Amino acid sequence: MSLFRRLRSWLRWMMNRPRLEREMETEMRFHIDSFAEDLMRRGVPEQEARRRARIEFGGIESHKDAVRVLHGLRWWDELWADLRYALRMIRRNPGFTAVAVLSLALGVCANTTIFSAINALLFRRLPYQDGDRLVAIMNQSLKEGGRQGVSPGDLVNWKRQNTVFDQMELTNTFASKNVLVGAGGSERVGIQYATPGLFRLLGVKPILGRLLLDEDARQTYATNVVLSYGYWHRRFGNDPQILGKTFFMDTSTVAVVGVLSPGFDLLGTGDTDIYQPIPVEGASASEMKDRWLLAVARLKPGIELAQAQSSMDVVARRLEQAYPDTNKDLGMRVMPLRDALFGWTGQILYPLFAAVAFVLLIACANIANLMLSRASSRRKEMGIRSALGASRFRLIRQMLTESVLLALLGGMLGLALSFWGTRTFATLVPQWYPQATEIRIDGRVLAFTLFISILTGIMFGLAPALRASKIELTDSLKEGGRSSSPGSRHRTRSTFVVAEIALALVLLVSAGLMMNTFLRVLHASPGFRSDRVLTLDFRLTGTKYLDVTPMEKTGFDIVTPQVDIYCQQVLERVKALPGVESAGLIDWLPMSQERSDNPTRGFTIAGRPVGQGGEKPNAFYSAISPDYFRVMQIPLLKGRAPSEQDTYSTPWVVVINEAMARMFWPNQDPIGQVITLDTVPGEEKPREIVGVVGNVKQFASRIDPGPEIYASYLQQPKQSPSMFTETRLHKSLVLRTSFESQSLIDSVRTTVAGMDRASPVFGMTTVRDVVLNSTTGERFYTQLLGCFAITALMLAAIGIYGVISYSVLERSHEIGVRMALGAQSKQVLRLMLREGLILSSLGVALGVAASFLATPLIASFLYGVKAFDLLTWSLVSGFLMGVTLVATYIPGRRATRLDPMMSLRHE
Amino acid sequence: MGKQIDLLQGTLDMLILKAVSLGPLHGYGVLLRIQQISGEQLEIQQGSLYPALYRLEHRGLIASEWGESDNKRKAKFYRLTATGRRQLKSETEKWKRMASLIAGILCATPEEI
Repeated sequence: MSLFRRLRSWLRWMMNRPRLEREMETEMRFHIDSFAEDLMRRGVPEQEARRRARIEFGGIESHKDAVRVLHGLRWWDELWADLRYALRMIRRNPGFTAVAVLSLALGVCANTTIFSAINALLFRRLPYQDGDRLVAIMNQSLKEGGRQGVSPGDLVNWKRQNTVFDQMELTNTFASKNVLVGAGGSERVGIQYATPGLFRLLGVKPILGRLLLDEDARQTYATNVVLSYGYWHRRFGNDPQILGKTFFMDTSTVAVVGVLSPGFDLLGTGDTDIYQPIPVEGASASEMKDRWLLAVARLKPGIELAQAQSSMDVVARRLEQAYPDTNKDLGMRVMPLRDALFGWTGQILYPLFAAVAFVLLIACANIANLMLSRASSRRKEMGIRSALGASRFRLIRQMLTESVLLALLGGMLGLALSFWGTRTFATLVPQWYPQATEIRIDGRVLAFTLFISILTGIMFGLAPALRASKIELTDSLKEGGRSSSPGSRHRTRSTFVVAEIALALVLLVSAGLMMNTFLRVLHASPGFRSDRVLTLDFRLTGTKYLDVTPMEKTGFDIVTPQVDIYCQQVLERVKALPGVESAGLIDWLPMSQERSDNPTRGFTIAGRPVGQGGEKPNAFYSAISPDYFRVMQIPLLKGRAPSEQDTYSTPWVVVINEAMARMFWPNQDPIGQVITLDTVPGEEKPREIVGVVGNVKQFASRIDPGPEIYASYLQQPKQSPSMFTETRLHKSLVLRTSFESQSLIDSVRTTVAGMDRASPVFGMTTVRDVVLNSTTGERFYTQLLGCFAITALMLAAIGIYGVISYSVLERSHEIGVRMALGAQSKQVLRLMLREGLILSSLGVALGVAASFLATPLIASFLYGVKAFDLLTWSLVSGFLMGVTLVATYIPGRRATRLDPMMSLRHE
Repeated sequence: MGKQIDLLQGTLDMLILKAVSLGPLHGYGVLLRIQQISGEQLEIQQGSLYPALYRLEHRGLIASEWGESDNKRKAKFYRLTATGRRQLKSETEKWKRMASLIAGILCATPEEI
């Protein structure tokens, strides 16, 4: 029978229950009466006839019940009765209900919040057309397994041999920065490059104007671009006149042809302001070196990911044969686009998910314990029910109905709290965290919350239900009868408490390690003195500074001498400002946001053969002004810093950092050694190492510095490969000041900004803030884990408090006897404390064992502290023991105040 | 009255369908009709008729309507629906096939095997 018909019939009965019940009664009565009349007609006396009719018919009620079961009504009746009873129980025990609902709400809120964060990045279908068939394709080294970008040349080759994808497009994986110059001044913007087909592939629609077309990608100097909705809204106030407006971007003119619809943000960082087309058709198939993009493709209908992967494997082998220079040992990796974009966040989110699961488990154990304590007071009720014929299954079902109802109440409150929780989470996340605004409670999150609520209800309800339903009838009905197995009930409760303490310890250890990391990161020396140092960034733009015309012929842009002149002028002017002690320049300030976008550079060491396979050593490279080290107080360990006398025409020199000296000249003096950078082979001259400076953290406090080369900004080639042009035109100014004040900041900004109106000045801040900013990831993790650990600790303390309190109650008779026999209150207290101490030691021991398994999960986030850090572990364990002992002491004190007479009479 | 035969499991539904196929009947009427056709040979627990009737109605094989009985009392009458008629037909055929099959097996003599 169809489910629909069954449901319809059930509904019919539910709606018309009283009438249908009445009719059923009438119908059966009619039967019995008719039968009796027939009997009477055959001469049976009336009374006898009626009696026989009733007997022959059988029990009316049982037949009615059979009908009710048939329509699925009995099940409903029982559930309804259980629910009403459960509601009464919940209302009658407001204290218990409040504790249970609140602790569940905390657990559910934490779980729902983290789950919605995971959902936003790792589960939710990408909001594009055919989102589940979109994949990313990357190059992958077969030897080391490292993923590499894709070049336009790669794409041309792949498209030629493609059999599994409908469409293949390219885009970059982060918004690269540039300067947009227009009527209202100039500003820094985030550019995302994309082949025009990308928008078609993703099904993105313009809200204004049109999308990029293939023709747009063929133009070289005047470029058509589209704006993101966010930028159009923020910068141009939704001005529809934006279409056709032209701006300058470096030396080219860009024209706005469209604005994308709101909400489109492929990378999820909100950094993209402008989408600029990249030409692919022009890319020659053999030009494959420039591997910096991500290929996005859509699987043909019916093609599975694995098929696509094996097809691309074949393509990779063919390309390896055709282009051994560029494609040797190169494979390809096809993966769902969502995983390629956001999969990496899993390693941040899953440990948090484990943490909140622990919190919920602790809450469960707590409530299970409370229910166990209550179960003994309900022994009589269960006995009566059982005596009246309730099966054990029925009793368990009734108890579970109660606990699930309780859990649903907790879940609802938790869900309400999560609306606040998700918003808080989104504000706590570091700035680089993608899709933070997309964290919300959707259908899947609701389903998850409902699921965990019911699951927790069953989890904390099952043990008490099993126990309470195990009934020795004669025992439980006797007035004041003792439980058949108080010992084993107590053992179950103790087990739960031990488990709670163990789980709480795991969380505390993790949070402790993160806290330790955070403190270390905060106090880690970045390698320079950040106090009283101001910084600001400027980016030169326009033909005055950059000439891209030789690009076609030589493959290089030309950086004009104006850049150096401008830099010198800036330094002179800001040094003249009152309060500025010294001033310096560097391409990118260490630990600043954009620093990490810049690749290392290869070099060769004079007198040393190039390594096997043509692989050259790599190092970070920074162009600096001579005073930079002095401003930042980076110690000069050996030799000298570049000076004003080192210019383009004098011999080129470099200074290296300690890490580089140690790596390449471990037992040798690096001073006097000669290296050659391979950025611009024709123009780059051999450089002598004249000094060694201390290491500086390049990206963040927790990332150890790699080898770094410093050269004077005056000793750089005039030519620049386009990938380094941004670096050549961007400078971070650093100023050591005698005081920090807003007016000084303002005057520096006006001074620099006034020198070239077209070139934007931005990022004015103190270097100390830059350093602090690099620790946001650690702060975020510490805050969250700390928050969860404190909750866990609180719950565990409540748990042990509850168990000891109950133990005092249960043992009041024993304690009374002891005291009547002359035991001192100190001895009684010791008795109770001993119980607490045993529980918490067991819990801590178990927790330590569990932490050995759990902490490696977060090992990659730690800095300066090992996952098995003895100090953290022992501090945290001691702290937990202390808290549990206090939680034991309070009810233990109560035991000492028992009046022996009272407690003896109580029995 | 000779020894009565207990109803085979699952056949009551079929008998009810057959009974109401001859014309609308109330519950008691169904009982009488079955007993009448079977020559009072079948033992049916009277009350158990009702869960069966409700089940058949639930499955849409019969439909019910309140009317007046011969003794001028309100009674619920059941009649066969189109689905019920189809069901009865297929059940009858199945039963016949089954019965002859079983009979054939039970009557088999050693020579035939």
